[in-house]
Formats: sequence, C-alpha cells, structure tokens
Amino acid sequence: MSGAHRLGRTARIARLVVLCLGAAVMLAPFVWGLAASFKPAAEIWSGSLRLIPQTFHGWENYSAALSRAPFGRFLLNGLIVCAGILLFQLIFAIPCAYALSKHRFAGRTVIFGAVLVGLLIPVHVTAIPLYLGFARLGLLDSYAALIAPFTISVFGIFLFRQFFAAIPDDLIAAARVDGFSEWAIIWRVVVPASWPAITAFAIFSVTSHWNDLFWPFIVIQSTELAPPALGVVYFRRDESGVDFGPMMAATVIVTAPLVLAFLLAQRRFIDGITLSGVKG
Amino acid sequence: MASLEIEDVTKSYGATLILDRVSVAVPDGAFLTLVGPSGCGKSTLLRILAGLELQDGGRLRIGGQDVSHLRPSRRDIAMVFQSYALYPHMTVAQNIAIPLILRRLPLWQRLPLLSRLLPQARATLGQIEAEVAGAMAMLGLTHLADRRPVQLSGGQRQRVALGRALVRQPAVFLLDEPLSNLDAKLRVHMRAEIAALHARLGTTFVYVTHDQIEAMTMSTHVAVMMEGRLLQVATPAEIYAEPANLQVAEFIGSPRINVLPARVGSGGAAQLAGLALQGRIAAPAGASVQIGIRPEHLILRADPGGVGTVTAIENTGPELFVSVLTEGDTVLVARLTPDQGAGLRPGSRVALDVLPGKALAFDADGARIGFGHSVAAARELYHAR
Repeated sequence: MSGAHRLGRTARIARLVVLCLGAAVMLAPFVWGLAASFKPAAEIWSGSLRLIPQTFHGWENYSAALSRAPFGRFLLNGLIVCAGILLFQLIFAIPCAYALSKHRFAGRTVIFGAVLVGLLIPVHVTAIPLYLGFARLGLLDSYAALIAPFTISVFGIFLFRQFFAAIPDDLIAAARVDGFSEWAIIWRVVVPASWPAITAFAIFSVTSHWNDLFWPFIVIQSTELAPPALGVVYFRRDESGVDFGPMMAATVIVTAPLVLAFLLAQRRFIDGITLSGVKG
Repeated sequence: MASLEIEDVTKSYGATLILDRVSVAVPDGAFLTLVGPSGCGKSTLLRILAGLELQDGGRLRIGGQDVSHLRPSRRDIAMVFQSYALYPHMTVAQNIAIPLILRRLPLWQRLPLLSRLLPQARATLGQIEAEVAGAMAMLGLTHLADRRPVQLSGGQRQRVALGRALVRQPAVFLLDEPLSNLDAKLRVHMRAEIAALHARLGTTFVYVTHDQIEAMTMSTHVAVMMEGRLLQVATPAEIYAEPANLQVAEFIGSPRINVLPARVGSGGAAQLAGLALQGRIAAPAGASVQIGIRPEHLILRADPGGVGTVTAIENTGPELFVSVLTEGDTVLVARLTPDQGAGLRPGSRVALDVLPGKALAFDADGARIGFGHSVAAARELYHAR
C-alpha cells in the first residue's frame, strides 16, 4: 500500500520535472528577452549567460524605446484592430453557428462543408487577391484594411457550431414557447450559455491578430496605423537593428498587455466553465 | 381554460411515418395523458401541439381557435420539458419571470435602464414581481429565489419549470415526461403535486409519459399510442377494464395481462388449454382468438391433481405474483393476497380458474370482441372463491 503510494509520488515528481523542463524551454526566450530589456548593450553581447543584470539599464532602455517610437499609438492601434475584428467575428459567427446547429434548412450540410473547407485555406493564399481588392477600393493603409478581411471567421463558426450543438434543444424550444424571438434566443439564451466558448475564441482571435505581422506588413504604410507587431518592425528598421536593449524593451511593452489580458481572461474562462450548468 | 381538439394530425420524417392521422378531443379542464412505449410518437404529438414541430397534415384547435399554424408563443400554451430546460444564467425568480416580461413589456421597455425609469414599465415589472412571488410561494420556492439552476436539486428544478409554465396562466399546459429524471420516491411525490396543481388550476393539461402508473393515477383521459397511431382514448378505469384491443390490454397493467391462444368451439365456447371459461365468444366456430386474463382475475387453488405447477412466487408485501406453468408450456401470472397464496410453494400443483366475466377476448388481429357470460354460473363461481 505504502509502496504503491511512494511509486505514485515518484511518478508525480517525474511528471512535474518533465512539465517544468518543457515550460522552461518554452519560457526561456521570453525570460531572456525580459532580462535583456534591463541590460546595457555591452552586457547583452558579453557572451556569459546571466539573468540578473549587473548594471541595471532598464530605465534607459524603456525610455529609449518609448521616445523613439510611438508605442502608445501602436498599442492603441492593436486595441482598435483586435476589438474591431473580434466584435465583427462574433456578430457574424454566432448567428451563423446558431443557424447551422439548431435550424434545419436546405443546404445546411453544404454550408457547413464550405465552412470546413474554409478552415483549410491559409490566409496567405487569399492575401494577393485581397490586396488587389483593397487597392482598387482605395482602402489600403487604413483600419478598414486591417479589420475587414478577418470579420468572418470560419474557425469561429466551426467552434461555436460545435459548442451550440451541445446546448440542449429543449432549452431553445423552451425559449420559443416563452416568447423569445429567434434573434433574442441567440443573444439572451445561447450567448450567456456559451461564455466558455466565446472566451476561448476571443483568446485565439486577439492573440493571433495582436501578433499578426503578415497582413499589416502588406497593407499598412503609415507609422501611425501600425499595430504592435508592425510597430516593433518599424522601430527596428529605424534603429538599424543593433540596439538590443531598447529593442527588447519594445517587445516587452508590446507583449505585456496580451499576457495580462490572457491571465485575466483565463480566470474568467474557468469561471465560465463552472457557472454554465446547461445540461442540468 | 380551453378545450383541445387534435384532428387527423399526420407527421413523417422522410419515409418514416411518425403520426398516422391522430385525432383526439378533450373538454376544458381535462388531464389528457399520452402514453405509449418510446418511439410511439407521443412526444412528437406534444411538440406539434406546442408548435415546435410543424405537422404534415391535420388541424389543432385550442378553445375552438385554430392554432395549427401559429408560432409557439402565440398558442397560449406553456410547456414543461423532460430536461426542465431552465435558463442556466438566470436565477429562479428570473426564470419564472421571463415569460411574463417577454409578453407584457414591449421590446424597448425591456432595456435594463429604461425599465427602471419609465413609470409604466415599472408598474408592469412590479405586477410581474408580485405574480412571480405568488407562483414561487405556491411551489415552495420562495427561499430559492436567487439561486441558479445548477444550485438546485432535481425536484427543485422541476418545480421551477412548473412555476415558469403556470405563472403565465396558459390555456393549455403541456408536460413532456416531466418526472422521468427524478428518483422513484420524488416521482411519487411530484405525481401527487402535479395532480393537485391540476385540480387547483382547472386548466387543461396534456401530459406525455411512458409510465402507465403516471397515466393511470393522474389523468381524466388516457390516450394510448403505439407506432404513430392512437389506439384508445378513455378514462383510466375504462382503459384498464375495457381495452379496445390486445396492444392496449398488454401495455396497461403490471404484471402484464396473460394472453392465451384459443379456438372458438361450437356455440361460441372458448377452447383453450388448461382452463375452462364460461360465456360465448362473438366469433364463428373454428376461429382462432386470443384470451386475455388479468393476473388478479386468475384464481389458484392448491390441488394435487391440478394442471398447473407453481414455478415462482414474488412477494411484494401486500400481494404475491405467482407464476404458474400450465398445459401447452404457457406461463400465467396470478396476483393473490398473501392469505390466498399462503399454501403455495414453487412446485405446488394448482387448479386454475378465472373470475367470471373478467376474461377478455380478442380476434386474431388483436381487436376486442364480445365475450358474454352466463350470470348464474358467474355468481356461483364468485361465491366459491
């Protein structure tokens, strides 16, 4: 009995060690970047591996980063673009997923098939036609160019459809009997019951668009419209890419809001799972 | 408050016929139970009544008004679902209030801020709160008003679902197997509670169940359905005593009715193995028929020369279910009081008799046919018992 218990404990310790090693490997670049953002250039290039800076150069690095490029602007752009994309994605994907999961209509399987096919098409394939389209419309170098291509998320439709399918049909039927309109059923019954899925999707959407460099790089020329990732690129280009201290400081500034948002959303995410007792 | 008429309702999914020209009408205040094995179409019929499914043909009238093509919310019905279907993000009080809010407040008055500012909306909300409080008091939910459905037990959720339905005072209540998710003890309790609710409200109830005990104990009208067809609609007593056909007789009653193949002899006498029956069967001589005998109508007498052998005795306390193997390898079940079965053991030889006038006859297709009895012989046998 105690032998089995001890074996269980060793297994648990081994598992913990493996997980810690994995986490360390994943986190190492970030930790190094964070450490570098507090070091003077000489120390970064010294060749010795040391996490704690010997001379604290953080103030200089961060003020250099903030003074040389409009990072407040980049963060605001990131906020506007990510919020805009997420808002439209939810507005389009939720009713679409509701129809696909709870309504029977001709062509439903075909449409769902099209959604699945859409999942297989990488964004890079459509980039050139989209670019040409925006150029023709005169919308290049604008928020619209950053937001519009991502407003319909097939991934969102797919994720929500799968989640809504698990909502009991009886709940929808009860709402119909109680006098909710179909529209009200979506926003007042289905959405409140789907917070975990919506939060999960929001995390995916915001991280991918906050960090997106590919598309902004194509359509944005003006510095004042650059979202965070592109802002870092501009910063690097302007500074000819040798000054690593301020560079790392810039990266930390750009990444920090996302990490904070994720930590907050994670708590909400867990709350959502425990609160939604849809199945009864 | 309304009568209910279902007329020739038909429904199929693809090639599968779910409802085959179902017609039933009940007066205002009736408690109609749709009962049948799973897959018989009873739930589909209820959903059609609610307007959640569209019938392929036929009409529905509530209180004389044709509602065949109205939306669920326009039919003046309320429904209680098997899974309760409570809104998980709302409290008990909100769950019960929502049908009233949706009906009485126009859309713009439902906006959270406006409803508090507009005097008219505030008055309506006050009225709704009073009615919700009344419904909660009636169902013993007052102390749970601010809980969410996940924090409630099965029976409490059931009551919230009932509250949400009755607060609106609908013309017809629809209940879809509302007790099937409850444990046995609670089910008996809620059965009585729903029956009492029906008596108090006097509203028409339509209740779907596969449980014949629920059907028999609560209803004023029982409708037995099988394979999409309505077999019989009658009072519980009549369904039990005078089933219209063999399927109904076999479905209603536990233990099941004993069914024996028989042949009609000369003068309409029943010829069957191991049992003598008085009376004349209304069928030509030589026809094969089926005789149904309820377990409580079978009389067993310990008799070493009897044709039957007791194979098993189930003691439920107030009564015994005795299985008897008789001629032709048929097993009959008799329901006896403990006194009547006192001397019986597995292996005992018994003679079998049937309480006069109680055997039922069905033709080869299962339809009920007449089985008259001689009164004198019946009386004699009855006293002998």
